[in-house]
Amino acid sequence: METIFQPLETKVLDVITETPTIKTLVLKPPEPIPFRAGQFMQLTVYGEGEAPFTPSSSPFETETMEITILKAGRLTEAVHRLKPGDMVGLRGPFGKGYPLHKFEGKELLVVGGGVGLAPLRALLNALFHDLDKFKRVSIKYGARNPDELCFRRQYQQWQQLPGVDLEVTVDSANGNWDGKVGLVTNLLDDTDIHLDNAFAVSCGPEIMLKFVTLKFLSIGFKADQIYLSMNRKMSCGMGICGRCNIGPYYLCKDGPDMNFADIQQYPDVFG
Amino acid sequence: MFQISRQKLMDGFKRFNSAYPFYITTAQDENYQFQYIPINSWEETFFAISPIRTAQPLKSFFYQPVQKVAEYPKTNGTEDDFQPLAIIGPKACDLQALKIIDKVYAEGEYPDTNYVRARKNHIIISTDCLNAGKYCFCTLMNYQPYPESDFDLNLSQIDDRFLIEVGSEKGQEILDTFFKGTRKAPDSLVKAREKLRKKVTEQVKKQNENFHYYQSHQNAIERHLDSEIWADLGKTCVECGICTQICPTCHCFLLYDLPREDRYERIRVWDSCFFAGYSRMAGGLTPRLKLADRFKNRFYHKFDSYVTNFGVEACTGCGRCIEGCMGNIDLRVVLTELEKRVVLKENLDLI
Ligand SMILES: Cc1cc2nc3c(=O)[nH]c(=O)nc-3n(C[C@H](O)[C@H](O)[C@H](O)COP(=O)(O)OP(=O)(O)OC[C@H]3O[C@@H](n4cnc5c(N)ncnc54)[C@H](O)[C@@H]3O)c2cc1C
Ligand code: SF4
Repeated sequence: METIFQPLETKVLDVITETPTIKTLVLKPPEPIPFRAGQFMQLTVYGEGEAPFTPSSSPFETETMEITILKAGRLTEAVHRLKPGDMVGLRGPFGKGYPLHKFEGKELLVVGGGVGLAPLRALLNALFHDLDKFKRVSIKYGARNPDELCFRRQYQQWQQLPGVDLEVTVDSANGNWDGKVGLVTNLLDDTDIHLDNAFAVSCGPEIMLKFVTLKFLSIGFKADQIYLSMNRKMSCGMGICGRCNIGPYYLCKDGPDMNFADIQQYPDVFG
Repeated sequence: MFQISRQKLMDGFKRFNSAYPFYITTAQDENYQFQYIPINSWEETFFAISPIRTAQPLKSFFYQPVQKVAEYPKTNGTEDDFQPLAIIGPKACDLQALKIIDKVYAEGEYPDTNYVRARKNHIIISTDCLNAGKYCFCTLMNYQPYPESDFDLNLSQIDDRFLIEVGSEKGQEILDTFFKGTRKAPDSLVKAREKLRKKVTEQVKKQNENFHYYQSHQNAIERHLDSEIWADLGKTCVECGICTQICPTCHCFLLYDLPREDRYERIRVWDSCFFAGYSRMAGGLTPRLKLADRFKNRFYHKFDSYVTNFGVEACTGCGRCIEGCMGNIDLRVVLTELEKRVVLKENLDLI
């Protein structure tokens, strides 16, 4: 009997090394898997199990799907050993995804940290696809060091798009880095975003999300203008295994991108 | 409503057991269990109605503690050992608990295939409680110690006769096919059942008479989301997790994959929100790292978010968690303490 836990067997077409700790899998599902920006997949590494990842490719590209993965533990280490031609499993997409219609006509401040730029790239790709619908896309991105900057090969292309700007910083510089040094929150200090017509979106490690959110609030964003990727541990992806709740919300089903106004009153919102 | 004699009931079970394996309650030892009776092995001595609910929650037949839920790569016509069961003797609190789990596993956006199939195919022959178990508090949760719905057949023993109530079409079919010699029950028998039911209900009420809730548990919990009280109320908890495992409504699980000879199996195991590893993430962050937060989460889930999401509290008063707790934590007391402090707060606010 086919159950809701059955993974769809999917071929790895290519493996791109993004940074020493981040790789992108280019996958060719047997049938297209339509998804909305921000929705995520459960990826099976054969024999190792499943973990949640948000596609980093464009929702408008359905023949292949890219997933960008930081080596963080048992399963993701196995991901990093995958080679083109290997098989993996997919379930999904799960979650709500970003409310793109709400973003229309707005300025968007998109703030990423580390591998957090991967899920955001699906959003960026969706925004870039219809750039005339959005007033501005301002991207702020921080990584630990220059080697860890994800998708570096694409920054120039992004910056050249009309209405798109990108600023990058690293926690600590090395060698020939002449860009900014400091936490990503520093990039938010003198943003010229028009707060009365903007949304702020962020994805990254939970500790970063916390400080980015505090910064958003201190520069004048209201809670309901903030969307956070709450990437808690998940097992089923469908709101039934129980573990990823914040208050009455299941982050897998109701998120993972949550409006901060909905979750701010819960004491465990940042772990 | 039908009546049947003991002998005819036994004959019926024998025939019924030629089509279904049984799980039937035991009635000795106070620690009532379900015992398994394979097809065609019925003997009269197996027949027993536990006076109260079993130790094992009914959910375990629908959502097993360890269960294979998928295998990959997919092979053609994978073997499937699903077997419809007849479960004889569960009580009202467990039937209601299944309805609570249905909200998540059967009625949500992603119905769980295994659970739904078991719900459709297993036969439930429930029975009335014969007395109040030491820890029972169904009446406090506004349930009754006797099934009123959600069974296929319900059996009530009155002296040496049995009253059979039909709760579903399937139940009627089973009655017609396997149980010969039923007669319409006379009013006197139905009245006798009412009397017994009332007696047990009063017993449960009596032993819980010191617990009074003046407002919704949801309200009491909402007022304590950010409070230190949880550390205090949960301070004897040793994180064994038994309360969640034997709870008839708890339903959290974890998936993991195992290699087999030529393929992999995906296994689902019961998990517990009391375990720190339950939500531990890569990088080491654990939301609800403190036991007090996990303790709070259990109550929050049962009495607050479940109400928000599904309009019902996830507790039917079976009392298993109280009976099983090594830390002597009593759910009724926790709810009472929460409420007391809310009342106290409100009074202080008034002053
Ligand atoms: C909605 C969502 C989207 C995500 N998107 C990405 C992404 O695009 N790129 C990326 O690199 N990472 C992403 N993550 C985080 C990624 O899922 C974890 O890094 C990964 O599960 C770690 O697994 P591990 O076995 O290597 O780590 P271990 O620490 O060995 O974890 C063991 C098991 O715990 C679970 N687990 C541990 N940490 C997490 C976690 N943070 N989230 C969920 N389950 C966890 C997994 O089931 C995992 O198999 C996302 C997480 C969520 C919830
Ligand atoms: S049964 Fe008691 S000791 Fe065990 S986890 Fe539950 S509350 Fe804690």
